[in-house]
Amino acid sequence: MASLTAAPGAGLTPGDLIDAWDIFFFSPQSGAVSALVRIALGLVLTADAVLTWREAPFTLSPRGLYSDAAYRSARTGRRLSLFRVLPPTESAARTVVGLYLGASIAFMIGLATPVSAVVAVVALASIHFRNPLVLNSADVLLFHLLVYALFLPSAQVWAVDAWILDRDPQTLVTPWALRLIQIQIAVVYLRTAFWKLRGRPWRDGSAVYRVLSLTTLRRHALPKALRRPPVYRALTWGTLVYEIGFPLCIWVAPLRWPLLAVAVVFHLSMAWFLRIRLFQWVMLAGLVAYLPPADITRWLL
Amino acid sequence: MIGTTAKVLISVFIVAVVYYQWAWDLPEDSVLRRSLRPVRRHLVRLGFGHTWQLFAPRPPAGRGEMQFEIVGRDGRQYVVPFPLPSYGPGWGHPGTRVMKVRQRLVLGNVPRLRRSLSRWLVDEHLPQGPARGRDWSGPARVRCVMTRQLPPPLDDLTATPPPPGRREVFTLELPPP
Repeated sequence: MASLTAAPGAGLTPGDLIDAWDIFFFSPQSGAVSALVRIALGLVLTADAVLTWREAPFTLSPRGLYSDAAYRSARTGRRLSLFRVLPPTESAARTVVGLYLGASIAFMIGLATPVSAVVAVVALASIHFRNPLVLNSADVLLFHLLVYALFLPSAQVWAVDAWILDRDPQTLVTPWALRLIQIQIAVVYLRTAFWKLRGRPWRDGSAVYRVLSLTTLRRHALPKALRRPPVYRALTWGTLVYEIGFPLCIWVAPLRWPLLAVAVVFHLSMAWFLRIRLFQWVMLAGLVAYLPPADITRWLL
Repeated sequence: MIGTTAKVLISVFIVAVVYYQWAWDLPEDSVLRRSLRPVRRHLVRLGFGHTWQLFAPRPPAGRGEMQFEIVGRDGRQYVVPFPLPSYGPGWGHPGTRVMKVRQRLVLGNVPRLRRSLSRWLVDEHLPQGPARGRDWSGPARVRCVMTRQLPPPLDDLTATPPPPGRREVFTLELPPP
């Protein structure tokens, strides 16, 4: 141990690592980025609640495709959920979704922020448990980000709470929950790239061609002039390069803004070409966590 | 701003969360993934089960059509395509949810979904609707069939696409009402 802590210049010491950990997770910074994450996440939650309201007769109703009897006999029917204590009616489903919508809006505007975040988590978990068979990665990621946001000091600025309690917008906050969101987004990219590299279509360059041939999900076809094998291959391999490069390079300060610009183009392009509900918007909300706090404070506070 | 004790406790929490984030979706045989086995059930119960296999490892392709052949007790047969619920255009196109249900039916052993979906189709989507005739004696069997038309290979985009593949996803005998 002594040899580890001695010898300056011989590499990282445990003390250096502890300092780096302390700076990364606990060094106070402006609450502006956390507030922007809350607003972006709140917008996506609100959109999700509106869509869930429209989908409820199909996905959540006791007479929907996953009946109340099927739900109660399944393992998910035994999880902590508002649906367990509510009667199996259409209006009960509407009540839970309404609660989710109200909590999402309150969270977005920073009204009773900790309470609204908890209510949103409970309502969203209940909705997910009621019919897990229709969930996709966007639903799961949204739930994760919302849970991390429970710990986010996000109502210091641009929030009704801040206005009511007359909070000083310049007060610094600890960013550890923001870091968890950043790490989660990085892991999503790295893990999906890991799984993609195990598939032949991603290695041989045909994956994007396959995805864009899915009539169920395609919103817009690629322009005719671009429907060529080299373009499909470039898009496939470019996706892999982005999904591996972004999480590794985003921590390098000079690369942050260029990479965020690439990320926005990447996700908006996918939203243009594919109907994958809110996945791109959930990712974009998560990417807000990477905004450099110094720049945001200088420009917006 | 934060005391040392609080920092230590939060740090333990951070390590646990980052470990979970990293290890959860690793392959089945991974040591890190297996180490989560004691807490896996509890985390799933709380809604933290996940996978990030987005269009991976092998994305689906082409035009997939799922249809249901419903045979009544009187021998009449109805063919019902997987109905897209109609709630208008926009970002929340129902195809996203429908596709996920189809995927579950094709890939998974989901007997509850099969039963529930079959009942839903009979109740809501038979051509005659609720007024399907006085002699309707209920459904006897539901057969789910998937047809998939793959696109031509990437290296020969002008080639004739391969003939559509058709497979039975499940057949469910329904008890009398």
